[in-house]
Amino acid sequence: MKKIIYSLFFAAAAIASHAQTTVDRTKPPKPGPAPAIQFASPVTFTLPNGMTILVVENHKLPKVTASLSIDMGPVLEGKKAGVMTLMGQMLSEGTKSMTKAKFDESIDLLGADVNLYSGGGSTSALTRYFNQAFMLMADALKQPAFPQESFEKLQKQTITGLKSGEKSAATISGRVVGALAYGKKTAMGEFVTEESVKALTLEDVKESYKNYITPSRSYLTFVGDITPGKAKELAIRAFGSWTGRKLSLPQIPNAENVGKTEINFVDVPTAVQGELSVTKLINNPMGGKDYHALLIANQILGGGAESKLFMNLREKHGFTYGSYSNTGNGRFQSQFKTSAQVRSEKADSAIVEMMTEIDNMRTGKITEEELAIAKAKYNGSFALGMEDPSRTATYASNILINNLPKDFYRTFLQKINALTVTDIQKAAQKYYDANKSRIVVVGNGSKILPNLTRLGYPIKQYDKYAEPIIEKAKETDIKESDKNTDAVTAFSIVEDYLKAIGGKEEAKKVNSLKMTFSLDMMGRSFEGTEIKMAPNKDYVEIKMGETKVMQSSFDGTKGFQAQMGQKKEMDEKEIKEGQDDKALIPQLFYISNDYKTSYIGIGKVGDESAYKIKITKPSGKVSTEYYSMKTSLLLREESTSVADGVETPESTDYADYRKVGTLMFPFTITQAQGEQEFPLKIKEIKINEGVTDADFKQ
Amino acid sequence: MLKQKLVFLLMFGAIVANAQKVAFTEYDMKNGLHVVLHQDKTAPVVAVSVMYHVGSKDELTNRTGFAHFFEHLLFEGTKNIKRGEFMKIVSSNGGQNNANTSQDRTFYYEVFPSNQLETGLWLESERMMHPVINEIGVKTQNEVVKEEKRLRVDNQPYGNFIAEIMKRLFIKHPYNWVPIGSMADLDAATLDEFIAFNKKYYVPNNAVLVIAGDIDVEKTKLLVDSYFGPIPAGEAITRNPAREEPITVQVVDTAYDNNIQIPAIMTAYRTPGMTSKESIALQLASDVLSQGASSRMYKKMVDEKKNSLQVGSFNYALEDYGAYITYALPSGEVALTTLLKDMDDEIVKLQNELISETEFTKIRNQYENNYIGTNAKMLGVAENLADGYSFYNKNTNRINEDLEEARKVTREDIQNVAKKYLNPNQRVVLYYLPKK
Repeated sequence: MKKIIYSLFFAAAAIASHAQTTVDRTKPPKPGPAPAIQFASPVTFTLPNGMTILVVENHKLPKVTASLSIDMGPVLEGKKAGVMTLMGQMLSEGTKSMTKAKFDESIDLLGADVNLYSGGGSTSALTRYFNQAFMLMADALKQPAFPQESFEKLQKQTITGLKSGEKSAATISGRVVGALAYGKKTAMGEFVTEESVKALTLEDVKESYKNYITPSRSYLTFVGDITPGKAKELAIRAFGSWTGRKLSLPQIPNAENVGKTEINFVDVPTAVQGELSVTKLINNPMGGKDYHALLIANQILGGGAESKLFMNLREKHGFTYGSYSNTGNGRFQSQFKTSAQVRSEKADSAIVEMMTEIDNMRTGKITEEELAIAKAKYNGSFALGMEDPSRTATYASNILINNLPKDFYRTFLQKINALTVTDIQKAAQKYYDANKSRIVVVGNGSKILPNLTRLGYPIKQYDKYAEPIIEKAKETDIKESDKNTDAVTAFSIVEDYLKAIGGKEEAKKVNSLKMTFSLDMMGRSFEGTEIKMAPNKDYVEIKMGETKVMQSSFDGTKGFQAQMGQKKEMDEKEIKEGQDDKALIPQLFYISNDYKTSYIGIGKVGDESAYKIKITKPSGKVSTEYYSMKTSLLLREESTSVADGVETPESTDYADYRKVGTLMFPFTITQAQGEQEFPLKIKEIKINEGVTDADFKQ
Repeated sequence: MLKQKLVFLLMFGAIVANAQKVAFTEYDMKNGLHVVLHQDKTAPVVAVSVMYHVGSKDELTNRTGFAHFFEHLLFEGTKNIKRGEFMKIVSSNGGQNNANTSQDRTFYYEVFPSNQLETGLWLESERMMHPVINEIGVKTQNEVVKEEKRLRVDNQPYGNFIAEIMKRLFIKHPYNWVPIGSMADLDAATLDEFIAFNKKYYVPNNAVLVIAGDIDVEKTKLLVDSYFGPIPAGEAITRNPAREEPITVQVVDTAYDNNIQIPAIMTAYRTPGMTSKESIALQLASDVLSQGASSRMYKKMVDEKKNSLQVGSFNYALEDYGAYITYALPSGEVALTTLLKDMDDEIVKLQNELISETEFTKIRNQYENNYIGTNAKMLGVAENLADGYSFYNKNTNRINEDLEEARKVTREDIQNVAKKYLNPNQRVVLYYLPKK
């Protein structure tokens, strides 16, 4: 027998070495048959408490990874939105037997990783330390300490995190698209807000822990240098006696798609780019018959840099840095979505091209080459992905969770490779539809909206929390025709403002101001002082703890700014702008020849209606100011700054007016530059007290 | 019964011990190409790689940047692969590819599903056999490299820091400059000079071909013969890099960077090359100081004193020499000299006291964890095999010895290298400041 094998081998060798002389270098070699992807089926067993254990044995490296995943499905949080994430973070804040510091130190010493989150946890360690690392993860899941001070720290961090995204078009789009598609009050469409996080308590965290961190419907996966026997023993030691609430998968009714394509618009005046999404809800279970065709359809439409959307919107038209599509799948309803970040001026054109490409999929404008490249990508990445042993475990748990046939992944590439252009077209016709989609646009309304009307789709406006904007704005817009009449003028608006803050005479008496304030930003707290002296001397200092982080000073003719030990003198333009104000209440001089003011219409700041005036200051700087129609107080100031040829919108909001002496001052001042916000809370204001010229010495 | 259990245990132990060993076959071809084959059928993947033993240290002082330039130029096309087709062939066959250049070597690779092994061999042999080097390619890549330098170095905060250190730490040795090189040198170079550089260094006798993954070793040998056999050998390469005189007086200097707001303080000590046993000890010393949140410098300067935004140290080990570098960025208005003192105090502590047993265990665990991680994928294995052959005296098996070598390092060794190499009179101190 051996002999036969040998001779066969020699024959093969002879053929191959013959081939040596005839190798054709002029064209790429023909690939061999696609490799059969081997799966070591994981060893699977269950514990009486509902936990399923999967073990993928792989002794290639002396390392083991384990992860616990609790299959709870989408959780409807309602008014407690954010509680699950916070609960997940709280699992890393120490256990009943170990402080957080001790816990972290123990992990470090092993050179291991341990992560915890609301859906479970994971750990990875060298084989000889794996037991210890695994028990640390288990301890964190079973016996979290939930200290109150950690809760407060994380709650605060979450709120600053939300604040930092308040003006980001991408963040707003991420929130609004889901909310509009599924509905705000569904598990898939709901989102976290500052109010919902503020309202959370440690009790809520404990409650959600009790409800969802449980062995029921959980999957514990071991991958790496461990035997099934050893894994079972460890699993039982750690989780055998663990009990918890019994989970059942939520039943979620399908949300309706729109009957006819419409545009949903969210105005973010500070946005530099427009966020475009075209979305439609689909049901695409992994076990369904269109699953594979949709993977390839998505790859052809927008899976990568050689796909239709990228080639059209970026390569051909240069509207964007990239445009992609995503076709969801799974047990629950999901989104088919195409998206791009585009230049504001091109938002309408980009939508047209996006819709054309979706139509091209439906009408079958797909080349054999496109199909072949899409298949090659899947074959390649599927094979390359097998280098990661955890992939096998993911596949195994997918099979269990989605109730798929056992050979689902073994036949995966066969099914992909058998697909034809017609198959792809049929799937696209069934699931993609440019006529029944929502086009969600988040961006600068004044630049984008006028162009969108030409597309012929109905346009509905929403605020950044997906609430429809009732067309009140239209009514007030009519009043714009009044703007040249005597009813309101820039003059009367400024006069009313001065009256409202306490009167011109009182305002003129202000010779110096000293204000202290605090600023919470990016999870850090700063303290600051601003000193002003008539007409326009100004000194600002900001500290973090005892460290001075920023300082600026202007004495009326020159000034500087210093930051982190770096000092920069004011340039000519900055000095000119510094000299713009002629008094500490600059409005006193608005109706003089130095300024040009005009009334330009009505607008809104939050819910408050306001008169807008445009001011051109002596330096040439132009800004728009909003004065409340109700209180006459200044609510907002808008302008743009130009640096390196890039225009960045700036705004300052004023709120919480309080009386200091005889005058009203705003105690909450929020400055924004582009998408960054600086919320100042004024602590104290002193008028005409203790400020001298020396404070502005250069 | 008990005996049976013991036998089982023994077998199990054997499996575990073997699991860490990377088996391979290696041989030289007639044209001098060294071939290393590693079979691993766990995943249907193959990495095809060529490491050329050429880097920026092989360049002439007035033609710096050549090796890195070739990293780009050799994607331009070959006699049989049209301009711009190289990458397309890779992606339309489901593969991934790239290349990188250091002071010592250039590494080209593709990772493919294993049925595309031959495509990988074809691509790499074409590149070695007859790359097209012409005016058009040189001109195009000249622009690309300039763009890369703008993006990665000139517009990158602290992007020039290694270059600024190296040019002060090495006076005679070509480590004086970094792989990106000088754009003026590249502009001044003629086409003939590029062709000559290619003819000298990108030859089979200066390269190692490593194929790792789901392969049949015997069939692969035949394929390698077919594709690489016809490539003629180049002339033997001799290297006589200049040796440096020891530094005996501390060098203090200032460098400026356009892209930064926050200054940095850096020190650099000249250390032995990567094959030296002391090189690993120096790396472990740097781990004590700055690996992880509980390391000495990090804990003291970032967590406790809060005077630093960032602090770090590492042993930048190269073939002929190494550079041990420490650096810190201030938090708030703290003097750079304060940070220098804080860092120096930690070095002095390393020299005067043995590190604790707990710290020793921690850094060994970290080292092991990291090294094992580099062998998780076929590409990593291929690179480690090629490194062993290219730099450790043709010892391809270095991949299986590295951990042992690290385990041999004692706490005393760590103290000794700190005493021997990390002294103020042996170093460069660089104030790295924002440009006015």
